[in-house]
Formats: sequence, C-alpha cells, structure tokens
Amino acid sequence: MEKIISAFWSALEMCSQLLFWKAIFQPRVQKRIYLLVVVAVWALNQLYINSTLPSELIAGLTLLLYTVASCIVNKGKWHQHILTTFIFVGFSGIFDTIFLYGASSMIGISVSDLVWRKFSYVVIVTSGKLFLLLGAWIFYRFPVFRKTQSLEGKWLFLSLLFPITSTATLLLIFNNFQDEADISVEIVFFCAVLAIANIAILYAIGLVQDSTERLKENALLSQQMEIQTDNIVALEKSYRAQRRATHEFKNQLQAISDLLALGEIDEAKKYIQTIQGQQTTRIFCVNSHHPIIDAVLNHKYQTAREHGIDVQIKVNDLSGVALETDQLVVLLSNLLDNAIEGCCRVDGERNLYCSIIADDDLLLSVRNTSQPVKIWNNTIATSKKSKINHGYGLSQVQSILGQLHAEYAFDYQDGWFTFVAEIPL
Amino acid sequence: MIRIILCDDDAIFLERMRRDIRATLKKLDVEAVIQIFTEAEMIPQKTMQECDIIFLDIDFNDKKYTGIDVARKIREARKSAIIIFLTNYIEYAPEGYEVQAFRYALKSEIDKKLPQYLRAATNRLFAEKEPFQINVSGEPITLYLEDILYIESQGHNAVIFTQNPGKKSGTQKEYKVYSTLARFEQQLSERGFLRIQKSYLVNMRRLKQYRCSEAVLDNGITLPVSEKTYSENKKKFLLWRG
Repeated sequence: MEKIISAFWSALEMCSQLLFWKAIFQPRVQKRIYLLVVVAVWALNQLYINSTLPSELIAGLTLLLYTVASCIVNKGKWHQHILTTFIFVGFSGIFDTIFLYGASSMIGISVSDLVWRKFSYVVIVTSGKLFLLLGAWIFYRFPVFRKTQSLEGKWLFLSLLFPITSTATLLLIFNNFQDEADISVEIVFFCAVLAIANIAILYAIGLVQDSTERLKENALLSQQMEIQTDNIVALEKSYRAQRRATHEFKNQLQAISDLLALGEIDEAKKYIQTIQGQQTTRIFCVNSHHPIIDAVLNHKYQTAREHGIDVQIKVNDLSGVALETDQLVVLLSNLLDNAIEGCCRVDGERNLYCSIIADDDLLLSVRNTSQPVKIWNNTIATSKKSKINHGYGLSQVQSILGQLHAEYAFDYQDGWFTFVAEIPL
Repeated sequence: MIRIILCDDDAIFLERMRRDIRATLKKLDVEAVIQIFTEAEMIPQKTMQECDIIFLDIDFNDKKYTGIDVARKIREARKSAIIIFLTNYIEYAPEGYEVQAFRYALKSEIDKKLPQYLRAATNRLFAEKEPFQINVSGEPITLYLEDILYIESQGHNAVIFTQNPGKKSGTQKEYKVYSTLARFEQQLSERGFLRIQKSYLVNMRRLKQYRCSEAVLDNGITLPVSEKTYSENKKKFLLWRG
C-alpha cells in the first residue's frame, strides 16, 4: 500500500515536472517518445525513492534523473536544464515542507510523529503535491517566467545560486528538525519566505531579460533608421547628379547642333569623342529591373568606389523578387556595408563581388577581400566601437534570413570573406 | 598555350592592350596567341570555338550590334570562354549574366586592373581545364573536371559519369574504374566535389539544386542525398556557389 501511495505522489510530481518543462522548453522529440521518457523517469524514481539510501543521495539522484531526462526530451542548453531542475526540485521541497510543518504545528506534534498517523500524513502530503501541480500549471500559464530559458553568463549564475541554496537549505531543515514540533511555525514561515523570494527573483530576472531585449530592439531600430537615412541621402545625391547630367547633356546637344549648323563635322565628331571619354562614371550602373535592389546596389557601388574598391556585380532579371522592402534594404545594406568595411581594412587589392540571381531560389552572394575573420558559434566579432548601435549587423541579417526560411553560410578563407544565402522565392 | 581575342573598334587601344596583355602574361609565365579584331563580324567561327579569353567592347560605334550580341555568339561557339567586357560606361544588367560575363572593366582603368583581371581569368581557366587521370582496364584516360557529372560506387568499382556541359542528352559517358569512392573523395573534395551520399560523389560545378530530399544536376539527373550530412554539405555547396 505504501508503495502505491508513494508511486502516486511520484506521478503527481512527474505531472508537475511535465507542466514545468512545457512552460519553458520546446520539445526535442516526438510526443510518444516524450511520454515514454516521462514514464521511464517515474519508474526509475520508484527504484530508489523508498530505499534506505541517505536523503541527500536520493535528492541528488532525483536532480540528476530530471536533468538528464530534460536534456533528452527538451531543446535547450545543458545549463538551462540544470537551472530548471533545481528550480523545480526547490519548489517541490518548499511545498512539502510547508504542508508537513504547517500541519504538524496545527496538530501540535512533530513531523516525525505525524508520519505515523498514516491517514493524516497521506492527506497532507497529497495536498502538498496537488498544490505543486497547481503551481506548475500557473507557471505554465504565466509567460513572464519563461525568460529563464535564455539566460546566459552572470544572469545564469545569479539565478542558479538562489534555487540551489534553497534546495540545500530545505534538505537541511528536513533532515535535522523533524522532531522539533515547537519550531514548526517558524519553519513554515521560513519556507513561505523562501518560496516568495524564489518567485520574486525569477520574476525580476524575467523583467530584466525583457528590458534587455527591448534595448536590443531599440538598437536594431536605430540601425535601421541609420540605413534608411543613408539611403535617402544617397538617393538625393543621385537625383542632384542626374539633374546636373541632364543639364550638361542639353548644353552638349546644343554645342553639337551648333557645330553641325556651321558645317564643322570633324569638330563635332571630335567633341562627341571628348564628351564620351568624360562620362566614365555613372550614377546608375545596376539595372536588375528591381528598383529597391538597384537603389541599394547603386548606392553601395558608389561608396565602395570612393574607397578604391574594385566592385563586380552580377544580377539577372530580379523584377519577380517579391521580398518586403525593409527586409531587402536591411539585408543588402548590412552585407555590403560589412564587405566595404572589410575591404577598407585590407592594405593590398580591395575587391568586392556581389551576385544576386533569381532562379528557383534567390541566390545572394557577397565576397570580399578581408583580413582574417574569427568565426565562432555562427557569429563574427564586430570591430565597431559603439556596441549600442553596432554589432547587430550580422545578427540582423541572420534574423531576416531566419524569417525568410533561407539557408546561408559564411566563411573566411585565404584572404576572402564569403557570405552566401539561398532564399526561397 | 591559351588563345585570347581582343575586339574593340579602337585600333590604337587594341594594340596597346595586346602589348600590355603580352607583358602581363610573360610575368605569369603563360604562353598565348592573341588575335585582335576591330569588327566583331570579322572573327572567324573557328577562332571563336577555340577562344579561351575574350576582351570585348560593349559599345561599337556605327554598328547595329553590341558587345552583348557578340558575347552571345561566343558563348554559343565556346561555352567555357571567359568574357571580359571593356566599356566606358559600366552597366550591370541581366544581359551580362545571361552571357556569363567574367568581369566588367572601365577602359579608363584597364591599365591598372589588367594584371588582376588576367590573373583571375587564367586561374579560372586552368582550374576548369585541369586534367584528371584515370585508369580504365589498364588504359590511362584523361578527363576534364568540368565534364564529370558524378561518381557512383558500384561494388568494388567506382563509375565516373561524364557529359559535356550544356548538353542535356545523348553524350553521357561512363568509365568504370577499379577503385573506392573514398579514394576519389580524397583526391577531389578540395577540387569542388561533394560526397552527398555514401554511394555518390558529385561535381558541384554540375550541381543545380541541393535539397534535403535530393540533388539535381544541370542535365536533370536526380540523386539521393544523405540526411545526416545534409546541413554540413549544404554549407559547402553554398560557399562553393558564392
């Protein structure tokens, strides 16, 4: 009978754990395998939970089992699994302690004596487990706590510290004060404070994460505005240059017409050759039949030329490319800006090759001469000084490519940095 | 020995180009036959078929054709020819992609850029023309990398499937070699070949689409793909295309 009750409590705890996982992680495996692992954890739990092993070892085994199971069935990094396991086990301990010590103080006996009043003990512990289930369900429904999954570095350390110390403290209380009926109220009060503090810390971490993300979003917006302003200035410059060219063209036509009227055919020919030679630079040199792509490429082409970079562009008919304007502008501007910046740091030949070809997919490739680039964990180290407005170029490109379900790769080899993306059309 | 055509309506410019190209190729230790034409219609068909590199003006004075039209003819005659456009006004447009222009060079900058462009062109040329020796039943055979479609493992043999680029049917050839696919992979992985599945080594020059379900070659043949290595191989293929 005892074993059945223990198995039932363990099942309730497993259900709470399941809700807790669902609140935080994305599943890594199919539903069937997920359930199979949960049942396996529950079964393994039965093997040692009622044994004569020291309670510290039982708690350690439970932590290990839950962490391993979480790693198997859920996506996420190992430290995120450890953190969530500690939080869950910590809360599970808090609920058990509050209910047991709360009931013992109400009845006026110690916890050790309460264990012998079988019926009362079963009701109390079951109530504790049901409350844990309710807590897990609230956690599942209340999304602000879910931010804990993306914790890194010092935030992870800070948020791990409290659940670990809470769990350790609870173990200590449970093992050493079971016979102390007169301090049960204090223990309940202490556990309640511990629970509230744990919840408050998790909530605060969620808020901090939120505000960090908002800061990041602001930086991205600010960079987007910078790009848009840059493009408007370039367009205005092109417009002025075009007007000047049109004006000059009218004058040149007039001069040719005057020479022809005077019968100076050889002079007119010479003049035409001269003005042909003068027009070596053009304001618009890319014509892919896509106005946005052309505008960005023309602008970046001029910028690159001003920095002494040899630019080669390959485009086919891009009139059918129906990507969002802001996505296109941010994508191309960031990639080309990075390439120009990379070229500028090279002492020798500065080359930039850009290719945008629409076929079954849109193949976008930017290749430039570059100093060695360190690529680590799918990112490259930024050389820009202001980290508020810069440093998000590549992550923005990656984020847009993610939204477009594109496949991409980048690499540095033999003095060349290459970025290639295949975007579904 | 490589064959170069220079075609521009400015005879003085052409002579200067020929002199500069000779000097540059001498430094690169490359022998070449350089032919110059001031009118594109004077280029004999045979010369076009043998041409390795062509420097081609885009805007011909008093002519009905443009350099793009000439490039189309060259491309028909010689698929692998390297076309470098010479121009006073660069315009990157779909027509340039259609004829697979290698570079666009401003005439005003050609003196400065010529060594760089020639070096890139000869590198490309030699990489494509790179011979690959195989042994079929004791008989040595020379293949060119660009002609190889893929290599398939069949028992104790590896079968090399070849076809001239641009031809979709009729000219496919097979060479059965007593060797393992792993051996070919070792020789060719640094030269643009990709092991897409345990039985197939594909030439990325001839690979048109690479999806997690299949690989499609430029002549329409589809081959199976290993899901396990897809992600890593896809990155290699993307970087190759870039």
